[in-house]
Amino acid sequence: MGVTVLQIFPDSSRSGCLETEKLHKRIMHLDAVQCGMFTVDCDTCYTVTQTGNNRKLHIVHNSETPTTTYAILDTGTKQITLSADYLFDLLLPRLDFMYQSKKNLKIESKGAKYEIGDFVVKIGTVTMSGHYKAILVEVEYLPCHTPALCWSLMREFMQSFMGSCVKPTLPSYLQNRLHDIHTPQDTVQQYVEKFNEIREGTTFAGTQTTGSGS
Amino acid sequence: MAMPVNVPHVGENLEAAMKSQIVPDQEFLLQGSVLDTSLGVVIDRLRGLCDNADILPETFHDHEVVFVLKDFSAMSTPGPASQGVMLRVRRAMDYPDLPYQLRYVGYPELGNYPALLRNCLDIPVSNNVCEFLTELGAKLDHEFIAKGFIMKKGRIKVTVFKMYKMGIGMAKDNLEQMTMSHMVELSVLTTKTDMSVAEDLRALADQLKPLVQLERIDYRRLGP
Repeated sequence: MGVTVLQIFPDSSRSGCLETEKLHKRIMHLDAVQCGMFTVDCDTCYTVTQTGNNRKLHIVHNSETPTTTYAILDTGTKQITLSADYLFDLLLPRLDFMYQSKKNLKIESKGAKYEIGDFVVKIGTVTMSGHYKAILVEVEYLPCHTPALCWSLMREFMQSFMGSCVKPTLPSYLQNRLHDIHTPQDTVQQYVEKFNEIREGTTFAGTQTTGSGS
Repeated sequence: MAMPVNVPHVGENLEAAMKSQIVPDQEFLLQGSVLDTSLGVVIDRLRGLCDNADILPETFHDHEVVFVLKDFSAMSTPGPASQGVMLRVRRAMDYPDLPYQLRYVGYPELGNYPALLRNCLDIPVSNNVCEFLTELGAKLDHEFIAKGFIMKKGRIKVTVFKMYKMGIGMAKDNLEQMTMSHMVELSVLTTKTDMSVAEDLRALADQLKPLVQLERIDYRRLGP
């Protein structure tokens, strides 16, 4: 497990597959090898208690870690990520008197996975209850474990096929964990962050900012 | 470009397993106790009955913390919201690298089964589970230390252990015991489709008579 960076690829035309096709072509020009598919999904449960203390419980699965369920509790002030066996999913119905999921908020990113040397790239199409929402690109650099040591290299690589949508500064999530060892929890937490942005619907145009592009 | 059309999805696999009822979420349990003075005899008898009679039984030293998750601010209305759910966290004190275990235990099923039958989920989790449960809204109910022996006979798990109180400043080898006896538990985890193993459990229990009387103990009938 290396360092993972997640990036929303702007899709102003909202065409979806046209843009992923474009990314596919670009990445194949870099001599990438396609090596299967991936999926990351997220279900969110909300508190149903009478108190005003609203907590969110995100239940995330990643096909890279197929027997793990990540339960991310968002209290508003802090986030706690629990890694559990996927039997945890069977526990949730027993907590429905306090936490209930909203089915129409189920969101997932699904797509193809590529290998280019030490990088693994996953180009995912994000859908929320069956409707296309955005394109999320996950880039993993395998030989390194701390973001501080490899961000500039990763940025250069990401800009080579995504262009100026990759900002020169580190994503805020990694900014706060610059010298920490990267874990699979960090990957799913970034997904939850992006999924939340996508649910709020601020992503299509919002990310097309100018950066020191390639 | 050949691409697999679908990636197997964790949720789908689990749903399929639920439909065909192959999830190991049912536990048969028989419990009893034995005075400390007779422990040696019971262990010897069990070693003879269980697998691997030639080696010494494995020991364990666990710490269990029990949380109750309910809406503490709500008015006490009947229903699951006021009763809450008990969640048990167990960790092996002698193997600190092992994952913590989160355990949900349901109420005993009604019916004439050879052993107590209850819904049970054993979930290995990361070690921040106590913090997670507290933030989830659960409160600590009680905690204890269980120390003893574990053996197996086929799929049946046999544990003989003593419970100790938890307190501030308690050292690992200076624990305060709760009673002068050891608990003896026979349990087996099975699926809804495979109930025959309960008979094996009963047979093993019968072979332990009259040293230990193993019974179905329904805690709801034990009033405070």
